[in-house]
Amino acid sequence: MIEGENQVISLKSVCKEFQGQRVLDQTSFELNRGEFLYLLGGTGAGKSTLLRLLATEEQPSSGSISLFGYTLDTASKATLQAIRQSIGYVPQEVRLISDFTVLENVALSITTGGRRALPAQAHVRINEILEKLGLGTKRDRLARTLSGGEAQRVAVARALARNPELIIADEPTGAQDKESTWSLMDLFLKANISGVTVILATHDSEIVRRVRKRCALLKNGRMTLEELACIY
Amino acid sequence: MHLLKLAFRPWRTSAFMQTFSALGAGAAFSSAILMGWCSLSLEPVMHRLSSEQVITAYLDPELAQEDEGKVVDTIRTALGSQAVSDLKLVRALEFIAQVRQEHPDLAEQLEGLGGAELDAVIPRYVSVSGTFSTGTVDTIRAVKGVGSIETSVHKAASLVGSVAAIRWITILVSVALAFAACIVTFQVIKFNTQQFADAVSFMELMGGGGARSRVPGFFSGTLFGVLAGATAAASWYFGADYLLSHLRTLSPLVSELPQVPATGAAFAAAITLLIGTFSGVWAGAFSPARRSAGGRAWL
Repeated sequence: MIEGENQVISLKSVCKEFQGQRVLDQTSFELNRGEFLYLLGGTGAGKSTLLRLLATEEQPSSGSISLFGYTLDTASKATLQAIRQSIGYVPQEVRLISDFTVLENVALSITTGGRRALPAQAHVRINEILEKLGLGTKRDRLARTLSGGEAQRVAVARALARNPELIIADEPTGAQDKESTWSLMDLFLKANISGVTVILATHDSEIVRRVRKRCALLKNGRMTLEELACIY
Repeated sequence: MHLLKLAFRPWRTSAFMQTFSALGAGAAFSSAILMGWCSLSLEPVMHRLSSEQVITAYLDPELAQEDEGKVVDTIRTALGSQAVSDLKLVRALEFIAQVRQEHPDLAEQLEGLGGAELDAVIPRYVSVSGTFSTGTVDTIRAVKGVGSIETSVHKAASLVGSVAAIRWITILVSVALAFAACIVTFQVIKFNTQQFADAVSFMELMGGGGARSRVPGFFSGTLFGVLAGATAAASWYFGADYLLSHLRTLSPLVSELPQVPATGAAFAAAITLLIGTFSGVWAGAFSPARRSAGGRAWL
């Protein structure tokens, strides 16, 4: 069901429980096209759970989630598939395919959408992103041989290479040095400027301080604070 | 290419396990089909044993010698279109000639009796062998000039029972082997799909279609099926006849089993390949890892 053309994310009273323990409690918020939102909160606050719900990886225990105007509860399989193809997701645990090379991992995110072969412009784009993230020389290395930080950057490259409309990134700078952190942030901001909606969970207060954007604070599963240009 | 590479992951990580499982499953499938074929081939043997008989119709001692031919003709007419392999009149001298080879002393003593005494000791009879219907004995008994009658059909009953038992054993072994081979195939392919379930679930999360995400499972199952199928075909082609030749010498009951058909190799390969491919599709479609990483997931 299309609810609002400009609305990318809409959560209404979303709860999530695991084995009787409530991780998210009555969470509601909206995010429009082209917005950038930091998701802040301590360990166990429910940030990753919320992002997994937004990435359509899991279903909420109650409440409703709409993405790109489609309510997930009523979305058909094909709609769900199309929604997923519009999302660039960087999970916290990275989840690269260990026996694929860096290039294969990134290329798979594009061919997964139904393309059999990688278009030429996609090759150029992948190479640009990998160069930008300092992975140009490591494109033929197997994912299992990468360091934690490198793997995290490959996951970001994988999310960006598919030209998503929504980027969901869970602590993408957690294992990065300063230089890599700002390279990643530069890519996220460029994507955002080009109209991509970004939701980014982070612990890094310096990023939030220097790149001022809308923030949402999660505490004990409740979204207690949401305001523009927060100072963390 | 990426999906094929995923399908090969189990072969890269556990090549020996995959190979030996496929060889085992192939040999088991081949043996199951061979046992099934044996049970089918024993059915005509059983049928022949239960319906083929020798009927001995003793002629009435009062019957004149010139009427013997009439009785034989009447019996031949009464049998009609039934499968008669032999029908002959056996008189005292012909009987002695028959026993002479194995019992020469007895033949000599019988010859010594001579004349009417010989005819009294050795009754004349008509011997009929072939495959007959159940009412044939009564039909012959009703022929005028026939005194008493004997049939071999009851003597073969224990033989038929033995062949039936052998046939049931082959059916049980066939089913057990096929079941074991199916379980091995399903388990190995389920294990294989779990090896790339992480990649498949992430591909689905990126919007990969349901059919596309089943491709690695399909390839993995087919690869297993190809190797197991080739093993089944080879073991049939090179081993089935050899095994049966030994079975034939083991017991006269199974000595009439025919030669194994060469097409059985192709059949064994096709069945094994199909089961492998089906297992791959099935395991890919219902892999538990696709369901959720923790809690309920959108499918």
